[in-house]
Amino acid sequence: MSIGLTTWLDVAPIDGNVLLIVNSAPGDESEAGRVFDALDGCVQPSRLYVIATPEWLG
Amino acid sequence: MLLALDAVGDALELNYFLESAEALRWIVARRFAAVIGSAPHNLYNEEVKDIFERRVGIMLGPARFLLHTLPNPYVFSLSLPDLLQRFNRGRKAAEYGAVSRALIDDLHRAWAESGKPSVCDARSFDDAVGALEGHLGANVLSWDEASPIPLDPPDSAGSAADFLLLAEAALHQAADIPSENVMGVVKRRVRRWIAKRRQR
Repeated sequence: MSIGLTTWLDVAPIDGNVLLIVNSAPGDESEAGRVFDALDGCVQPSRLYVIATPEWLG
Repeated sequence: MLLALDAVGDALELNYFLESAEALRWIVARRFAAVIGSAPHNLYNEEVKDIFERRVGIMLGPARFLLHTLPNPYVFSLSLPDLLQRFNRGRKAAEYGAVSRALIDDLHRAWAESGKPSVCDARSFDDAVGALEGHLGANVLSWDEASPIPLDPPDSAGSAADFLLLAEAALHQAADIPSENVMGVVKRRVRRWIAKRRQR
């Protein structure tokens, strides 16, 4: 993975586990959803881990 | 998935949780290749999410920190040394601001001493060279606007020491406090949540 300014096209695929920390304002599902969509093409679902506050459980 | 909870299952503020023993152990065990926050960063990289980025710094190791700008397509991919440079941004900005103010003061003084002309269209700016060199360094005058800006960065030892103190405190806590209680609560909560979702 290159260092510096890049795009999602250059980020993919990520070889290894990826940690997504949900630090968006609680309830801002569109913001968090966009990141999930972007990561969808970059990392295998089984290698994506998430840390979030309990509010996100709904 | 790991939820930001304390030992009795109450919610914790996310950044506080990220420096906890439970979070660090969970993260270290998974050896992440990349870490990303869901909140976007500013398109022009002007914003530093200071508290969050310091927590990421504690756990980053050899991984990459991805700062996204969604819905824009750009991503800043940072290593730990890059992140350490960002921690010094406040000091850089303060120092550059002070230098710029001193430069403007000198240029204003020179303009006043020359009789405060209302217009100055002269192609030469020899009268300003001394002030520019004195405050920004001689290399600025020959800068091509494409290469890195030739300004000496301020010393980063202070911000690096602040970060190390934070990391040291978090790691000491991780080494001393048992985590079985918290992980047990988290697992039970996640199981309950999954069961609820299945019932819907």
